[in-house]
Amino acid sequence: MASGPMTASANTKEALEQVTILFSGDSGDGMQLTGSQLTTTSAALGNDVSTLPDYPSEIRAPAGSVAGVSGFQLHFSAQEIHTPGDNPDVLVAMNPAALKTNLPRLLPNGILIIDQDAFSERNLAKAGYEENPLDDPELGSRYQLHPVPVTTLTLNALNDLDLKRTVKTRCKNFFTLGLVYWLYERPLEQSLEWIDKKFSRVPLVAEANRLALQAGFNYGDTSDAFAVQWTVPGARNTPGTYRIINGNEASALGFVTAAQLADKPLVYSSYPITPATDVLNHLSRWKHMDVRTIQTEDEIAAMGAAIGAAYGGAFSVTGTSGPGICLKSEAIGLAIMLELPLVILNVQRGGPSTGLPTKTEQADLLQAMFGRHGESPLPVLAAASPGDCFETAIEAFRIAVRHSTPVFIMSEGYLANGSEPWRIPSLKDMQPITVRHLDDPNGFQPYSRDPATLARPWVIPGTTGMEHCIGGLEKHPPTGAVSYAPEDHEEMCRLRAEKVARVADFIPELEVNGPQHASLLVLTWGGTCGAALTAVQRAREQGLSVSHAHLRHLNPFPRNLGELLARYEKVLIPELNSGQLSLLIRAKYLLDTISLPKLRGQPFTVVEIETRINELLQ
Amino acid sequence: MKCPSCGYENLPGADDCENCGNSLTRDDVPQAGTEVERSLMEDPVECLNPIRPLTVELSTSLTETIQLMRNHHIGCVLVTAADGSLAGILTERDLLQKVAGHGLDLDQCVVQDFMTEVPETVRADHPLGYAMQRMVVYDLRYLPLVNESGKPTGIASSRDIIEYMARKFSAVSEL
Amino acid sequence: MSPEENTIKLTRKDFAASQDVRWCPGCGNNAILAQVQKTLPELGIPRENIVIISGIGCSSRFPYYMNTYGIHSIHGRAPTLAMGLKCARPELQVWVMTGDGDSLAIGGNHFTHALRRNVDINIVLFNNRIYGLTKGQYSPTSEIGAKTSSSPDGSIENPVNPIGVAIGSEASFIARTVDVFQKHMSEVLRRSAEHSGAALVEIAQNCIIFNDATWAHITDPDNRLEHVLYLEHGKPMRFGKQGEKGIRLNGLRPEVVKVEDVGEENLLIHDEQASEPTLAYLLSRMGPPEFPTPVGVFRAIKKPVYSQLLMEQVRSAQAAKTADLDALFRQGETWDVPGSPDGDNQ
Repeated sequence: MASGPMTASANTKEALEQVTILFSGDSGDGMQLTGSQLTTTSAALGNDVSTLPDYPSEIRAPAGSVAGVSGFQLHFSAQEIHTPGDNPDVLVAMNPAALKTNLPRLLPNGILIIDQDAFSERNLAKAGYEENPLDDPELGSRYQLHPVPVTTLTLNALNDLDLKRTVKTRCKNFFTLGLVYWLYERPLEQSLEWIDKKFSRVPLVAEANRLALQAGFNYGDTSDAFAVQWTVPGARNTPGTYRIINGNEASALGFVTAAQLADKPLVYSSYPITPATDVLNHLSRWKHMDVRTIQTEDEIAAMGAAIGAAYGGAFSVTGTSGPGICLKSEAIGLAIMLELPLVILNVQRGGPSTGLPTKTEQADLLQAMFGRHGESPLPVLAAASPGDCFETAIEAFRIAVRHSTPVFIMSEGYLANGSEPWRIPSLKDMQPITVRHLDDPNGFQPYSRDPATLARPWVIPGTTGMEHCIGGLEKHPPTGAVSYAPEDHEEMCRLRAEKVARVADFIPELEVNGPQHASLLVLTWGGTCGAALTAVQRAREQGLSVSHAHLRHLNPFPRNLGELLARYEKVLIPELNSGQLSLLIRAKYLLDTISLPKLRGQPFTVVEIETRINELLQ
Repeated sequence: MKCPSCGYENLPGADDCENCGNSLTRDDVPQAGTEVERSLMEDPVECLNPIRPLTVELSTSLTETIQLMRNHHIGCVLVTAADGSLAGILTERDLLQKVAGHGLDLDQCVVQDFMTEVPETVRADHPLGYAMQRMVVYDLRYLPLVNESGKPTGIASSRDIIEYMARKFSAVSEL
Repeated sequence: MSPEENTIKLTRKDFAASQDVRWCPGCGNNAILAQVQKTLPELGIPRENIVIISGIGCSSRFPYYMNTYGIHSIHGRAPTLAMGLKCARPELQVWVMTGDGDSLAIGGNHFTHALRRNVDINIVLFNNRIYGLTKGQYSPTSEIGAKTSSSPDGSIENPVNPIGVAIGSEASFIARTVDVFQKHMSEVLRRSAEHSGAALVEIAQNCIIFNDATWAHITDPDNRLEHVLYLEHGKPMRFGKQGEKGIRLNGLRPEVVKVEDVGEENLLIHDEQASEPTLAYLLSRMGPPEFPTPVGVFRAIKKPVYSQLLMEQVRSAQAAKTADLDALFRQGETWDVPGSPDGDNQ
């Protein structure tokens, strides 16, 4: 295939508001790389972006099998967006298994780009196709089908290079990237620079990747098959420096930042578990920030170590997923009794039991609220987006320290692995976190209370003259001496509950997107925020009377929540569980909420919420 | 492992190269170096063109069984149950160990009492390497092939594998 | 007492808390408490730098009775808190008071890993071969056939011995002492405190209510010398009323011999510092009826200490790279959206 000079295109150009593109192939095809490159380039052009990677379900599944399919969905737009897109408009399928897995999601008349070289008999058989789907005329009529001989073209482009065939074939992903760049008028420069930097050790491979990228681009330009180019202009963003970030990295950065704001070492105790492991991996590489990571022998040890580290005065956090929280429950109860500041991160996944480790869900809310024996309240926060994991991490530490309590952060697989642009914050704009370690022995009592917050003092070992013992047995307030007296237990339970309730005095009131009074309020928590916000925006554009409110604080609720909810005729709560927030709101506010549950291991699509809004406002 | 694309030294088992993002998942699994290795890892057992097996019923006498084996020049028979599923296997080795020299009245002996019950089996789509491994681990010369319903469809013998490999050897110029 | 910067001279009274001691009269824990209160002041560590962490059990009441920082935590998990605390504050001296159930049943996992990692803590294991607090069920160290409240027909379980488990967990300091051997206990505790790394001290302890006299064969003063082998590094292994008996190695098996028959030069010499735990293991298997029970330090070797290694990594990382949070934020590719300057360039 000629990779000649770029001719002035005889192609048409059309403008688009947004595109959702799904790259999928075998896990060896480099779809994550292709997707991330397109993401960064689009973001740099000024598009708003949101991504959702879909990792293979098995570790080293046989090449070409359905279990080995790896996907990357990117939504980029000229406007502000909040989701990685419902269904893709464009599907790039690098092999039959990828096509089989993802074709059902492609929108009618969507663009379907196929690597036709990969549709061999063997690969078709591995994917479970009895016949070659490319031969089916239905395919071509239902979608805009573009079979491209990617491997052949890549090899041709690299013909003159002295590299092994296997090495050249690996450059397929850059060819595909180049083609997609042409389709959406993305400039090559950023990726070309990136190639130079990353492949500097192997200049010949760098050359091959560059040529492949260019060849893909040229193919789009010169091939008759692709007659239309689309432009997606840049969105307006607040000025600043941006980067792409995913939820796990944002959580990790948030924890480090919180510790820095308090001038404390960070101790992160954890046991590897999908999808939280990355947080441990990131933090273990940041020792230069006085971050100490402990990979413990199990989840319980991680929680125990977190308590010990907090007792010692460090900023202490443990991260896990649902099954880990189950194991930690007894120790979390101890932390509540000891009233020590620490943070527990739950990156939720499909449950129960081993469930769906790589799929997302929001079904651990009631566990966070009630998953310990006895009356054991603690504050619960949830992140709304990948970037928001950063803010939530810092907020959690502020609350933990100010109110001397362990604090739960609810994240989820969807946010942990999804990414979006993140405006790099300025440290000098951030409030330091004040930490006071009581060191005056006069009149010291371990369980005395701050009059406003009811927090108990954080006295750390090494402080002269303040030696004392705390433990999991019930105590006599305020001395902390072991006591089983009925009035002491009653009072301590009341104090522990009241202490958490008073967090509401220190957090902002809940705000509403949209009118203060309307027929319907859509109330969300966690990763559902984006889809709901978009759905409500669209509904309002249709003239419907609906607003959206999003909760970051689930315990305690913002102090104006009751009064706010009362201003709407109906309250709809979409969540990736069977109705857990709905249950909490009903119980607390005696309100007949409308639950929209979803338990499919996938985030809400905008359409799902929009449809329900329309139904309710008929 | 070293990323084959950019040369960066990654931690063992990393899915993607930390430097260039290229997938490593195909490169860190054991690869076939030669055609012979590839064949063992990928070619299915049915490439051996396994013969249709000789089958007898559980109650068949040893006399009859031995005669059948002689007539067909075959070293083993498969024993099927009433519903046609595989119940056992009788081989020359069984005859040597359990029958010869024991002074048995072969007309009165039934094959059910001398066969190996519930033998190791493979499917037609199992790779050759898997069949070989079974043979080595369980010290077998014959591996019955069965389909999904447990009905025998063929026999693969160690000799079949040797012959197949010998053809591969002669086909490969590097040897 | 006023905190002094330089010489800290503490006494037993400084370590006695005001809480009433609530162990049964005659409980071995009382003797242990007395010795710990006597020994800690001699270590020369400021009282505020000592932390005692316990789990659940009679032994776990300990922190309440000591005037130091302490946490009475949950069953079996004290080593995990100790580990987190050492990572946050490597300079503190941390003791874990635990029992046979707390450390070998529910806490077995954490016990082995704390020893394996060589976290610099002192684990004092009060082994009374019974679950005292819950009123008398058998424990992982109870003898097979023991008749207890949950095994009225006799326990059908084989016990483990803590020394053996510690050896298997690669512990760098392993010792045994007895609740009534006051001077011995004090010396062993002092050595464990001075040891850099994870130290296990098993204290044969008597539960007067639920398992009285389980260690009588070694605590009975009339017969003690016959049944106890006092281990001393570099010295031949001798016991008996006149030290007339000794231990000799016959192939791989130790045997009890009369010293005058074989000569002292042929007796097994105790070596705490042997790089392999083989000798310690042989000693750990010794007990009645054939052998005396060895007490003292079985093993005391130098191994890299967890919190030291961790802090070394932290310090080298800090030396190699400045702690620049802004640089951390900017990892990977960034792009700028121009507009009115908002001073975000740090």
